[in-house]
Amino acid sequence: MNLREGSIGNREGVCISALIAVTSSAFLDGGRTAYRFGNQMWIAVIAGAALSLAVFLLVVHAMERRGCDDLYAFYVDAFGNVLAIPFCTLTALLLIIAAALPLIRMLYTLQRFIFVDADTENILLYLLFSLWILTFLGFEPIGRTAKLFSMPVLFAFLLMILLGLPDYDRYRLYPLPGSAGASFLHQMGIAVLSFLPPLLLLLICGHGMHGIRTVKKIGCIAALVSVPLALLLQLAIGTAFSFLQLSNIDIPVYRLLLSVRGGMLLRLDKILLFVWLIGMLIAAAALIYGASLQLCLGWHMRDIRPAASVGCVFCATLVLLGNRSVSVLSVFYTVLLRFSGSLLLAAVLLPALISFMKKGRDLCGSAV
Amino acid sequence: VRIRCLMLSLLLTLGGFCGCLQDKSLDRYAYVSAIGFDRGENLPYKFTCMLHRVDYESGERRLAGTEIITSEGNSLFEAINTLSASLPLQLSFVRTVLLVAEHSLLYDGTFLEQLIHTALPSLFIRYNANMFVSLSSAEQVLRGLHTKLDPGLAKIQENFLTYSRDTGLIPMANLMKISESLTDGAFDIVLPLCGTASDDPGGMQDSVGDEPYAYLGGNLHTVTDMETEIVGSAIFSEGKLVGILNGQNTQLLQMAVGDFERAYVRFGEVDGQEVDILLKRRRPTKISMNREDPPVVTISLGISAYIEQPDRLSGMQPEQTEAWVRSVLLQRYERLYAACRALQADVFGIGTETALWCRTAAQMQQLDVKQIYSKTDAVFDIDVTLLPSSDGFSAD
Repeated sequence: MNLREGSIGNREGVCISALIAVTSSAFLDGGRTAYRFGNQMWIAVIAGAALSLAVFLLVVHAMERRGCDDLYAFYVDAFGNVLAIPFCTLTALLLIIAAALPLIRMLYTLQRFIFVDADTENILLYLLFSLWILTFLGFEPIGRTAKLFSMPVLFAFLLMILLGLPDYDRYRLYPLPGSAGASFLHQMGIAVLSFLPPLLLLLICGHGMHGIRTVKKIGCIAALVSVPLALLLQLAIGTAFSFLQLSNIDIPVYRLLLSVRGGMLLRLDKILLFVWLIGMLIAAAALIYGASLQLCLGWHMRDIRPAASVGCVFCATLVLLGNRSVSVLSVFYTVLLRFSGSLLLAAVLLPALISFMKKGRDLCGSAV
Repeated sequence: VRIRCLMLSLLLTLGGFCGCLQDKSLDRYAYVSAIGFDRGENLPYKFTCMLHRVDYESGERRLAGTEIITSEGNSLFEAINTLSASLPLQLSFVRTVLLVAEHSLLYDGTFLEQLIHTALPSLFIRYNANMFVSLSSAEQVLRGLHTKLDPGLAKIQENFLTYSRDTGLIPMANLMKISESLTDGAFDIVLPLCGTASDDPGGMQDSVGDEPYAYLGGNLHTVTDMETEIVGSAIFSEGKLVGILNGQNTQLLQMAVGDFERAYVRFGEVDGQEVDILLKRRRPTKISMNREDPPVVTISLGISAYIEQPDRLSGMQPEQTEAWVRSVLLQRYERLYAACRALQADVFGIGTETALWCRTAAQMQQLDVKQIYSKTDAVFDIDVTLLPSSDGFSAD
């Protein structure tokens, strides 16, 4: 077996999970139409994170009850060997989508504001190369790289929030959430897509993190770190731009960086953007690795490298297509953005429910 | 694993900071640091670009002075296209920090609208670039920015920010704020005013009036190497220029909206002698508004004051002096508020307070801020504390 899982410590696990959650929630938003009824993203982030954490804890409880160490074993325990395959494939697909969607926004930002004369394919090649190396090396190097870069990345977000302080005003948060339920649910779905995949990744790589008890601890700490920062980010965006402005802005987090007062910060936006890019690449590599591992376990593949390579290329293709301004693709991506989180929820809630219906405890190993 | 991680980190960092994806090098561009907008002689608009000359020959890339170029056109794009025909380099606006518009372009509101919503997104001008209104021609203003000290425009922009904070004589508004005002209509913008001393400053008068020596760009009794003077403000209503405020009234406005740290204010004459006061913000300005009919907005200021010539008020007790300062400020504020309300320029942020009344996005979009503003009375609650010395008034 060459699954390159290795083993990582608590800090590495927290760093991976927090990096994914923060970079995704910073760059994933519902697009221009999401703000039609006001800016509800800041409250949707809390709701989405709370829902993701609740589902994570529920699944962990179910896994502990049945004695499962990772998500694959849990699927097999719930559905049997054959039905576990489509569930593993679906989870892997959704994780790659979760990796690709923020990268689409990042690639757009790079092409629109930094490499104005370059084609998106050229820029993407650089990203694909970095992604491929990281994913190929396996879970342990990803964990250690995440540990190296998590502080600079999180600090870069915090710095941006602080730089915008003179421009924040509470009136821009009005109208307060509550008047448009459907819109709120859509935005909450997007928030789930930011917070659930990092927690699921921990469940998938349960073996590499010394069992489900450690995974539970790491997941809770990662949520404690990432949710306040994600909330601060959304509040910063919400108090810097009104909902009418947000309806005309493509990447609010980068626009905020471009709008801070003072000429002395002329190049800071580019430096911070590249720090975020590094964080986002590590996050995407972790998610693609998780997806590849899930596929390998589901389809009984002994080497993760082919699956990881396919995962990287599939992710890059999604990113490239996402940058094409074709209306059919645009609708497709809106559907992906809004409903991938809900699908992922269903993909883990269903086996949890089945598992709770089963009476026996600690039978997971025997089922596998 | 450690060595792999280290190598990977280096690779990621290098990959992130690499600059060239195609064979376009930096010296292919002429970087525009400031743009001026005037009425053209042959075509509707005349555009003036101040270009940074960069010395690529020296080991360390550095600024090597500025150059002014002009072009006329029906639109900004046409002007850029015609300019490019007679330039050896491609124009780039990514380093533009200053935009100057001549006042006559701004009365009907269309120019600003076009500039913000059409030109800016296409030209990649940064949203933290500052915009100024010029009483004389924008070209003269840009030419007047040149000094022998030649600090570079980014430094000049930084100096304007410090100047605004330390004197209150000019407001600062970047393109983001202008864009917000035009999109939301929750408030009206106030832009800094400039002009050159060498020409007629547009014949515009302060909208409040009654100031013997009004600080206005192009109207100051100063002689410096930099011909351009920046003082006072231009006030807008729904994107249209409706009036101007001199430096003294701009100071009051800056205090009322909270964009103020300290200022040196001429308080006029007492018994025939000039009295000047140093004012410093003691606590953040509070603005609250009730929903009665007519609505009342309460603007609460807490300021410390130091009398520059205490001997000229020697007949007064400290409490009496505080009351006198308060009454003079109140009188000036009432005059300023009345003038701005008459011009329908919501520069005090009444609209941002009314936004707090709305429960839905539809309500917010239907709200007639101007109508509410025209009925709103203002109460200025000014808390003055007299200080015996000027300690703590200097810039940090």
